Amino acid sequence: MIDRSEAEEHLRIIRSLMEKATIYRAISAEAALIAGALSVVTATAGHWLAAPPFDAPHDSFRFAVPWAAVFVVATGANLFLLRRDAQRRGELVISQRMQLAIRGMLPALLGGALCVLLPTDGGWAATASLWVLFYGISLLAASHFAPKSICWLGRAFFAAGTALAVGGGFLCDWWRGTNQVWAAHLIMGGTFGLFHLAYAVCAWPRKKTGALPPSEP
Amino acid sequence: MFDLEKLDKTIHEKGRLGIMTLLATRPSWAFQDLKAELKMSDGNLITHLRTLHDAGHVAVTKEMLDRPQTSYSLTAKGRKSFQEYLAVLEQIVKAAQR
Repeated sequence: MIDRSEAEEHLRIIRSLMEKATIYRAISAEAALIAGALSVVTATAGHWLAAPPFDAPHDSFRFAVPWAAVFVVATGANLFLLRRDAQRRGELVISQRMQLAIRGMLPALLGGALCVLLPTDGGWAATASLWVLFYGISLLAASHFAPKSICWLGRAFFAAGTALAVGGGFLCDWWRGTNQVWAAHLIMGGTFGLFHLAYAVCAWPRKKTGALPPSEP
Repeated sequence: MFDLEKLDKTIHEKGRLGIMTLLATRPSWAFQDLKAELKMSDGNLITHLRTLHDAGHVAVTKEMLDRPQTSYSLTAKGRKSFQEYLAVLEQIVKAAQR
């Protein structure tokens, strides 16, 4: 005989396992390492090239274009690694979970990309701050089916983006007085670079022991 | 109270229920992924998988990727039995609410 509480307990087990199984890691640790390292290199090079004697005009080739290239390379690497992981698990590459993640993240990512069109008059630091904020929002939009590490990454980007946007507003005069390309590279390296490297360390798959069981059915 | 005879006893054990639930969520699961998700020992997991395999609920695939890998999936019979098991549990809960 089975009573209601036992049936409910079994349904709870089923529900919790199904929820765990639908958790989707939209950014692999390896891709985060690549994105973080690329961002640090780009920020360092851009930061150095924005300082005297190279601190000439604030055109998009000194900020937006290099970072668009970083985005393309990092996204390509992430998709390649997600595909490899999906194949290893015998899943479809564009699984239902991936579609959910894309649907959740896409609006904020597009919003961030459109910030390039804002008339900031060469104010790349403001653009970089908005990119940080929108990227944080996009990660948080996928947080209800993401692992904790991605939720924390989203929170870190959201907090940093908010602080930069609010701080930039309060300190407007000082903000405008700085070398915008220099400041923007610093923001990108400090957030997209260091945050992704920290995430890669936390989410890096730990080596599994006991590769094969002694005998299986 | 409900008649236990209506429940598939192979699935009703908590460890095997966990395995069946995970197998119902994806086309296949590697042994190591199942072990990590369910936090079971090798021996315990193998025993449960063997029971489910013998009952015809689970299919086994062995392949050679960068290393030998054994994957498990639900058979058509296993999927049907799991759905029936869920339906019975729902009936029990609903009956008790009346």
